[in-house]
Amino acid sequence: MAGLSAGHGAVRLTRMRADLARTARVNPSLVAGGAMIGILVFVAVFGPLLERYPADLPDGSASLQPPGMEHWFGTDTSGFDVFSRVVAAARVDLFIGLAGTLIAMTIGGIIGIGIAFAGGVVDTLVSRTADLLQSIPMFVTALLLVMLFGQRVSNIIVAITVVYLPLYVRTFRTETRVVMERGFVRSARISGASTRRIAISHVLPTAMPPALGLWATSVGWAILMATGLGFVGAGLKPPTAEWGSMISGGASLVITGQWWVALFPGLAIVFTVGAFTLLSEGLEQAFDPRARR
Amino acid sequence: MSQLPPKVPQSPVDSVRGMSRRRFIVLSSSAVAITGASGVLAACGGDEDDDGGGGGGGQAAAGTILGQAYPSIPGQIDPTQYSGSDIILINGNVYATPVRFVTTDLGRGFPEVDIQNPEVEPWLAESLESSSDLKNWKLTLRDDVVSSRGNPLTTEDVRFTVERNLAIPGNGQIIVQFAGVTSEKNVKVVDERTIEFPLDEGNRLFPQLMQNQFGFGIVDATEAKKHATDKDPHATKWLARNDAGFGPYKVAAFTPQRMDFELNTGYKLDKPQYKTINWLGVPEPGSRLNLIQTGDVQVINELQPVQLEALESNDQIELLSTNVSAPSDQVLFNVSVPELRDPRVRQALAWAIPRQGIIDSVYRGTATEWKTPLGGEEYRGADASLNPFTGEDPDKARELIQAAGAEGSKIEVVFDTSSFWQKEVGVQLQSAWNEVGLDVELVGVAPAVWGERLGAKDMPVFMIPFGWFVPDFFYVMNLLYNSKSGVNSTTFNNAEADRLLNAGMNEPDADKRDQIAADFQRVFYEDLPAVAVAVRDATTAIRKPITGFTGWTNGMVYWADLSSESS
Amino acid sequence: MSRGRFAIRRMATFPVQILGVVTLIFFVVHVLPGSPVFKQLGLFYTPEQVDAATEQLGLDRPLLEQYGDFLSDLVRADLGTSFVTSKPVTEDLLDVFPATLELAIASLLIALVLGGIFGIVSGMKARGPVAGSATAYRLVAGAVPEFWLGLILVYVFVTELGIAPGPTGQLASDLPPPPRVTGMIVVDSAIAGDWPAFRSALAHLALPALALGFSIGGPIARLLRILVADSRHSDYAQYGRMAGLRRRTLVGYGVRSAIVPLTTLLAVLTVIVMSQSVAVEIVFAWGGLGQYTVAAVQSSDYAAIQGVVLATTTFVLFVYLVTDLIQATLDPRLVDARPSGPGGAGRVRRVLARPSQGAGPPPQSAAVVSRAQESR
Repeated sequence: MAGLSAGHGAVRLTRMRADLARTARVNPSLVAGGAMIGILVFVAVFGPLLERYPADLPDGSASLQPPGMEHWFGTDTSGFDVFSRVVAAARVDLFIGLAGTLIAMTIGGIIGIGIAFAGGVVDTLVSRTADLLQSIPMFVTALLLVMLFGQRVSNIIVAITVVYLPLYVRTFRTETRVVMERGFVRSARISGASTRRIAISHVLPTAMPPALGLWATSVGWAILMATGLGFVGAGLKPPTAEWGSMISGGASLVITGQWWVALFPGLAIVFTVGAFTLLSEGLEQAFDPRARR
Repeated sequence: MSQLPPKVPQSPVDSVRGMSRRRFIVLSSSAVAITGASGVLAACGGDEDDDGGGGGGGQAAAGTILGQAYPSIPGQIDPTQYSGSDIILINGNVYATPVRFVTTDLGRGFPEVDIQNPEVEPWLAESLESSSDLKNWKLTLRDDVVSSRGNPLTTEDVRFTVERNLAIPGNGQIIVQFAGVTSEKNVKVVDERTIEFPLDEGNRLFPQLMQNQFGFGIVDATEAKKHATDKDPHATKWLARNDAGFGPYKVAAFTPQRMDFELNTGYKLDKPQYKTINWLGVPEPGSRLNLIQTGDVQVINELQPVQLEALESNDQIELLSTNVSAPSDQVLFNVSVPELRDPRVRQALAWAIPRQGIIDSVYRGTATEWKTPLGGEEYRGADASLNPFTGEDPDKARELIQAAGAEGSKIEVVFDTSSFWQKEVGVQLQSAWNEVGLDVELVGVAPAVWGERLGAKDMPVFMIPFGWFVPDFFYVMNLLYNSKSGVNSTTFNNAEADRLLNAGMNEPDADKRDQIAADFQRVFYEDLPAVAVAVRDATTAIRKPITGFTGWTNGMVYWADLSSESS
Repeated sequence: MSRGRFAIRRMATFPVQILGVVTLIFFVVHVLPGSPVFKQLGLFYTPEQVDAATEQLGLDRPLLEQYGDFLSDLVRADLGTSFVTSKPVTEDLLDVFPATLELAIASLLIALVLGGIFGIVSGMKARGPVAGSATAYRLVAGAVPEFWLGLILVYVFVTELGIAPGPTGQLASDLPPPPRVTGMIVVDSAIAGDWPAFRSALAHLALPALALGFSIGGPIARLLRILVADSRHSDYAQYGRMAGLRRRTLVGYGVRSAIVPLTTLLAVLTVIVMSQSVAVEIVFAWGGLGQYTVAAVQSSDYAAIQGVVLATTTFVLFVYLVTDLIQATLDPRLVDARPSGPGGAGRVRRVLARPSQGAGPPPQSAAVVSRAQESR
């Protein structure tokens, strides 16, 4: 018996490795994206251990040191260690991006499915409002909201949620209508299923794959928007480490030659957003077999 | 009959690829072309500018065009409104005042105002006389001054200017009132060239206030009245975008990116060399630096310490520093806020300020510690020996906080996001004050919001850069700390301080004034409403071989002062 | 529905949308903290001065009254006066809009080329180093913050290499600008024959347009990859090849099917570029709409904020309107647009809907696209 299960275990491991190898070949985006996000998760979770210097305690005497053994990414005007702050900012920006988009997806899903079921005036009204909201340049909307409510993490998340909500509403509404057109809904209703049950068992399975793909990409864009807000000064209160405001602080230093203050936060953004983009491409491919690389 | 089958196409993949290959070649070569072209164009344009470095600089040096870069373009140019530091630098050149300060070389190689003994000399005026009790002032105007609109200067212009100031809220109004002109009865036109100011009380600062461009930048009344309406009798709307002054320059172009100025041919008092001034609004400090390095502009005032360092080694550029406006960066405490009411807390905050760290990081070592309530020791009456707060003493700070029972107090430090030094200083203050047992929150607000909160007086701890037009200890201290002063943003209300301030303001004898000043300073340090984090020089960068830089109290660069040896 | 009726209906919704947005913004904006009064009063002033100034600016009247005035002014094309610049907002917008438009057009051109090459290449060859670099471009382009890229370009080309002009706006500072025709300095200087200004304007345009165009090229590359790959593998293409159709015919079909999604994409990207240029404008002191917007928001400049939103939203909606009309002309089936089917349509829609800094495609255009895909 033992020998048999040991054999099974070995086979399973080999099978898993083979599966992984095959996935890597067929869907490298997913694997690469997953790996990069793994690194991000690691940095986020173990961040405090990685920070060699406190990310929020300035050291006036160490101002503007170039990258070296002591400070891997150099220091900025206040003497902060850039590396530690890049690591600390990862937590902040990731949190904002993930939270904002997840909330947008949840609320957008409820609204989108709801108005698709409701139809009629409600549907038209909400859809038109969503369009209206989306006609305003998103950055301006976000900027206004943050300046209005104050520069706190919660408000930036609210801004991102508001800005991405119409997109999710529309996606979920569309997918729900697809399902509805296929007649499942009608027949389910005839058989007496409650709306909620219909939504969960029929609509969600169809809607989730594209929604998840959208979500992965929108995390990346949300992070770009959050850092953009930080860059123009509508971000978090100093000395909170946030990639966008770090770049803003380093902007005027570029021309006097202190390039490191602005460079490293930007690289972090590229890495992070790239990770989510890869993930979304991978998800897209995984869910939709018709899509070719 | 079978026809030949149509020509067999190549394999499907080939045909598609073939089509795309051609397209690919076309597209890639155009891509290369475009990227290459952009690079080449950037380089061409760049070379153009760099040659302009020799060319542009040379042009200015030999001749008649001067370029100045500043972080902003004013939103409006009404001479009475302070809408930003840019307006000072511009309106001083467009709106001349009846008098201006005397300047002499005090040893730094260029003329400066002697702030220990400031004196004024006539500018648009021929003379300014007073009665012995300093209550009655008589201004006689020159008869050869013509405005940029072609109208000769008369006393009606002066009267109109003062009337404007009395009617319109703004900086000008504050100055005029400080000068003792509080209503029409303090102004009496005698004839076309003579105008009298019978004040309610003697005012020893009257002449010095009369050099202030906000209060007494003379407006061409003839021109202004053409644009007045019933609802707008002082042409406020028109003057917000148009100039009508008697100064050496007039506005030729006014766009959101730049302003251009031309010589006022009616100004015959000096012979300015520069006939055209280009004033560029460049918000990024690095870009401003680049402009002066390439020679596109020749004058820059707002520079960060890092950039000053970069310029020090540049032998094309001269860095000129002066402290006549007593520039200092101050931290002010709102004494009405519960957490700050106890003077011991404020003293603790003062002791805990990481002065050296701030000087090293924010100012790159180019500033010094504070010495007096003004910041430095420049003005007569400011006595550094009375200042007990020298150096840093976090232990003492902790003691004081514990004595006041203020551990864990929440303190909010507010800074203006458009100011780089405020933010950096705030960061240092926050960590230092947290170390001594407080709980500090750092809040950045946009300039408009900052202004509102300043007026509402609800910022617990905030910062302001100080720089003064009138080099008088009591003028400054009254403005800031007299409980009756409308601009007392710390809500400082100390009866003894008030008594001393009022006494010193009107005391004609300089030595007695010094005595009162000393008493005031003692009270000040006890009840500490503010602390200067750093005293710095105001530095202007000017490209050689331009000379003529003068240290004025308002930080002005008067373009008429500047000239260069022709090359 | 006939094309004519569709066009009329579509055009009728346009003003309604604009009114809705403008009203929304008016009320939102008046809740903003920070009164514009203080920008005027400067550092030191008294409470009485504050009250007087507030009254002067009309900010103490009831909100509905201010809204009524705003609407009646709007009808007369009077957007109010900016507190920051003291000029009529309409004038300000006319000043700053062309600068952003110039930047947008240049960026789109660069994006089309870059995205075009990389997209088509990776659509053609699924593997290989060339396709790999195309994939890398797509990835990086979408992940790079434009303002940061602008800074890097400044560092490399201005500070280190010294071959590009400094980031100081559209023109070298000692050159007088050409007489204003369109407001776009490159165009105006060409019209005026002012070649030094023309060269300088192009040189100043190079870096910011590259910074923006580089990242906008990403979605273009993505779409083209999909379209090229699809057309290679699609049933009709294979059948057509099998049946011996000439290459040129197939190309024609391919191009025709690409126009519709490409038009939508371009519309979306134009819109995105117009708003994404904000941060880039700040880095390069471009003096365009983005910079104006940030200043307005930070100073609680009510009139300017409203004006900016009105201007950009009008532009956005106008672009979509034109796109819808063009597509309806090209393909009458699209007039009956309905929500899409799954799969391919959704894919293209997702590629198109990159709302990071701009507006996503409105349902009309999206449905148009998905419908087009569905009928393949």
